[in-house]
Amino acid sequence: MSHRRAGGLGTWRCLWDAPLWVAACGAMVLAALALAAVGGALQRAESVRRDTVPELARLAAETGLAATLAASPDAADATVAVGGVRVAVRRAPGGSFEVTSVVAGEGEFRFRCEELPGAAAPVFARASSAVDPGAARLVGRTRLVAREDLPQLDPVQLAGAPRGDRLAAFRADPGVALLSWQAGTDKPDFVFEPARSAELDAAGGLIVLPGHLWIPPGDQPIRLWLERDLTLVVQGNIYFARSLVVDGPGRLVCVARRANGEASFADRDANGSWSPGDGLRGVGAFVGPAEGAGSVYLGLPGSAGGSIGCDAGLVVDGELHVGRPAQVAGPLVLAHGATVTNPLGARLEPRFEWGFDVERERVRGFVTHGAPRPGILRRVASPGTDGQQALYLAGPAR
Amino acid sequence: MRWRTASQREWWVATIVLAASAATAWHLSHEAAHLDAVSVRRSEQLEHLSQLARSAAVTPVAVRALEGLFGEHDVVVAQAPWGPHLAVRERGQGGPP
Repeated sequence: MSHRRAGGLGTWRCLWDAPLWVAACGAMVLAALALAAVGGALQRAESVRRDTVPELARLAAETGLAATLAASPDAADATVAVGGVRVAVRRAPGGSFEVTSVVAGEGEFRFRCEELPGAAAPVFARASSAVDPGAARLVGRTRLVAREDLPQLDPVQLAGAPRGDRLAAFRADPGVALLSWQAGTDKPDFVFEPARSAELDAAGGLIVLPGHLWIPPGDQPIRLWLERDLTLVVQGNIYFARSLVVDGPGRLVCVARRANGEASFADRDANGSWSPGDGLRGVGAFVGPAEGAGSVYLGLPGSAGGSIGCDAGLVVDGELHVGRPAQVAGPLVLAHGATVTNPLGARLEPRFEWGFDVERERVRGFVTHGAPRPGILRRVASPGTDGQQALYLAGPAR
Repeated sequence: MRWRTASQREWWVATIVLAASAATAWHLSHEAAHLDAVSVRRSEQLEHLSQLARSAAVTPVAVRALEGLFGEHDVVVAQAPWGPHLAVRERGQGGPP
């Protein structure tokens, strides 16, 4: 044992005899540590710089576009300098703008935006809006609004919209109402055909469904894939017996609408039909189909328990009926109020996972207000920047 | 100062080499930490910019936090016919962008 200890000491002793060698090793270790720290910092700075340059290009594009439209609202092509960024604006066919920002030393960044006729109603930027103060007791985060603040459907857009009964994404189901209501319904009933939801994207952002829409009972939520925003105007009631999940980047706004010659009512006895004790909404006397129109039911008799999730935004022309605890992901707009149809009570929580930038985004199917404007600039893949990543720092990271 | 032995000279040189290396490494690490602090600040500014871009209320006070994000360009609030929006202008240039 003592022999081995002496041998070990001898090994360390040789280091004592070669201090320059030890210093060189120490210097190398310190240099490696310093280089690792600097390299890491440069890498992080480069990552931030890569995120910063497109934002500069976007703001310059926004600035150049606004300056161009302020100088000449009908300008077709223009090039302006925004600081060190050259911005080219081109009005493309189909009511859109193409904007290219050239950042010196960084390349070209392309953006595109729609030309909007005006702003959307502010209620689409809020979690929940209602006219009836009583709605706030049942629906959390509700803001009371005046009737003139409600969004108005645009008859011209509705007249040109495709009809849902002619699309394979919807299927007429004459028996679905009998699962929940003893007397069924007078108007046609439709259900989603999720396997054909691609047709929803092809419809151009607005669909009018002449009848009721059902999300029928089932174990799993109904899932739709939407690439683009869609406004679905249901000329009848919307019945949710289970959850509706919207996958993809598109946002779905469901509108329950009451036409002339139809009535909306608060279905206090929860039988799905007009009864003398029910409260009329927006009309003086009951007319039209027995089940009314323009109302939404979240939770139905005969469907399994549990809460209902709705990934869509809802615009309710008539009354909202809450039969089960429910959550709505998009904006909720109630032209009247909300009624609980469950004797044990239920409440709706607006999750408000998404809304609209009402100044710069279009909500299809609705009337706009204010001056025409460009929509939100969206980045378009550009071969000079998006296709290639810089292999070295194009400029000092500060 | 006179060195008595070669071994002593070696030790002095080694000490100087180590001290210089340590000082250089400390300086570089300090610079790296400074660079990291700038990167973190710019990341936070980018996040703030992204929130501002989604916000309906764009005010000159809100864009003050973006100072220095784009180097030679300042972020400002510009007034368009449809309302206020974020814009950039070259640093030191007054008036509307």
